[in-house]
Order: sequence, then C-alpha cells, then structure tokens
Amino acid sequence: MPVNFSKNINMGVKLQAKSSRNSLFEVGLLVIICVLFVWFILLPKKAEVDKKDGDLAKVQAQQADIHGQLATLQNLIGNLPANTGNISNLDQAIPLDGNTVRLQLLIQSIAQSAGVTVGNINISGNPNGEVVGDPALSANPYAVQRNLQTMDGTIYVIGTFNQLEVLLKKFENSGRLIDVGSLAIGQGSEGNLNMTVTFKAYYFAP
Amino acid sequence: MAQINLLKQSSTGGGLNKDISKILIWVFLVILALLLAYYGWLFFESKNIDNKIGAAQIQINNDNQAALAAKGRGELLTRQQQLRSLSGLIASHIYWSQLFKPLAAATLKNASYNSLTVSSGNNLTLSVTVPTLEDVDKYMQVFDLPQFYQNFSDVNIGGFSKFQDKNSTSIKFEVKMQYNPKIIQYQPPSDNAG
Repeated sequence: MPVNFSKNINMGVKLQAKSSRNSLFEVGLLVIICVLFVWFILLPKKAEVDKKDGDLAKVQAQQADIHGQLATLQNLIGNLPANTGNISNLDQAIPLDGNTVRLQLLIQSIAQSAGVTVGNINISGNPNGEVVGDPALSANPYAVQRNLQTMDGTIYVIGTFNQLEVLLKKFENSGRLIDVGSLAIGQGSEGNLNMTVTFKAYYFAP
Repeated sequence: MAQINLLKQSSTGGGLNKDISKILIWVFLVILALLLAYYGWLFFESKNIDNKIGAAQIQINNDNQAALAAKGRGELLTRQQQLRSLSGLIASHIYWSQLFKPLAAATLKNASYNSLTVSSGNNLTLSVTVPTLEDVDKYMQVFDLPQFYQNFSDVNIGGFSKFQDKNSTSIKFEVKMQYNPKIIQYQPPSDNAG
C-alpha cells in the first residue's frame, strides 16, 4: 500500500510541475508578445505620431504666419487711402508712365525758374514703351508687372554762374528724381557761361 | 507519516509557483491591455493630428486666396516696389552743386576758370587762367595741403599756353584731377545755419 501511495504522490508532483511549466511558458509568451508589440507596433506608431505632431506644429506656425501676413496686407491696403499725399509725392518722383513730354516740360520750367536761357533740351525714353492708349492698362493700372526704367536727357543752357548753380540745385532737389550724370561749363558770350548737363530721370512702367 | 509530510511540502510549493505564475500572467495581461489601449489612443491621436493638419492647410489656402484676391493688393505691391526703387535711388543721388564750394576754396584768388567738366568716375577737368607762371606754381602748391588734397587728389597739369589780352598777358593751362566722391553725396543741412 505505501508503495502505491507513493506512486500516486509522484504522479501529482509531475502534474503540478507540468502545470507550473505551462504557466511559466505562458508568462514567457506574454512577455515576448508584449516586447514584440512594443518594438514592432507601438514604438513605430509613437514615432509616427511624434512626427505628425511636429508637422502639425510647423503647419500651425505657417498658418499663424500667413494669417498675420494677411492681416498686415489688409491693414496696409486699408492705409492706402489715408496716404494719398505720400503716394502723390511718390508718383511725382518716379511716375508710373514713361511720358517724355511731361519731363521736358518740367525741365523747361526748372530752367525758366532758375533764370537761365535754354538752348536745347533732348530727352529720350524707351522707344518700345507705350505711353498712352493701352485700354487694359488704363482699366487696371496695377495688374501689370512694372520695372524701373530710365529716360536720358541733355540740356544746354546759358546764364551766369549763380544761375547755373541754382539750376543744378533745382535739378538735385526736384520732386521728380533727376540724377545729373555729367556737367560741362564753359565761357559764353557777354560774360555769360554755358552749361551742358546730361541727366537721367526714372519711371516705373510695364 | 514521513511520506505524508513530504507530500504536503511538495504540494504547497507547487501551488505557490502556480499562484505566482497566475499573478504574473494577469500582470502581463494587464500590461498588454494597457499597451493596446495606448496604441488605440495613438491611433486616434494620429487621426486627430491629420485632421488638424488638414484644417490648418485649408485655412492656409483660404488665407492665400484671400490675400491674392484682396482688393488693392496690386496697387500696394506697385507702391512698395516704387518706394523700394526710390529709396535705392535716393541713397545714390548725387549733388554736383556741392562741388563748387570746396573747389572755390582750393582755388587761388587770382585764378579763373574758363571751363569745367565733371563726370562719373570722379574725374574733374578744368581750364584755368592765371596772370603769371609763379601763380601756376602757387596754384599747384595748394593741392599739397591736407585740407585740399582730401577733396581733390591726383592733380595733373598740362597744356600750357600764353595768351595776350588787351591789357595783360595770362597763362592758360588744363588741370585734371580726382575729386572725393563724398563731396557730392547728400550732406544734411547744418543746424548752425542762421
């Protein structure tokens, strides 16, 4: 009997050991599943979310920037009507058309106000540039791409030194931006001097 | 009796291991469940971020469209370019009339100019008349003085000719020199004028 009893006991221990091994195997399997899940699924997903989070921050910053720029643009556009005086000065300094006749009239007027006698005025603009008569441009003058362009001119005048100096100063301080390129002063008749000035004026046209 | 004691001990140890294993299984099952829940949160967070990015991009497009369609934008851009061009031109605007004062200061009292030619490249050409040859020498000596050679330098004199007027004889010669470009740059009016 004790022998049989002992056999029964041995069988119980084996069963328990087997069950315990199974449990350990299950624990090990769970650990492996957890590790694999973390390594191959969770961490890549986390990295993807982190990257998207960074992208979102960039897009939101860009959005805020563009929104700010839009607000600035609307604010500046809103300020345009209040600055008609400054715009008028700007148009006087660099007009939006290459009208050479208007420049010639201005130069003539400056020369007359300086008291010199005008011998000759020559002005040349862009030979291909349209001055007037463009219906599309007249309808929407700001829809076209404009560039800074120049008109070159020469003026020959006769006068006293003081008059020539006044003429130069008027050129230099004119509301229309005029750059004197060179000047030559020589002796004229009856104690007068003659002066030849080459100059450049600018306009902002298509 | 001894066998029975042994059986008890063996049975108790196996049960404890089994309990620990069970606990461990539950612990890892809970961890796995938490990990799955975290994954689920990440999944929805990812979708949420995608939606936010999409919304932000739509807003950016709307703002861009609004900026492009803004009434007065064309005029504003034209004025800005015009102003930028003007600022650049004013910075390089030159004042030839400012050349006369330092030139007069550097000129001998009894010298007179028949012609003056200035051009870009800082070149100045003068035709000068003085009464005597000694005056030519004096005229040249002026340009060795620091207060004058800082404005006019590299003075070349040539083309001498002697001519006779009704009452006197004069020496005529040509002077080529370099002027300091700072002379013709904008100089703000001094406060002590007047």
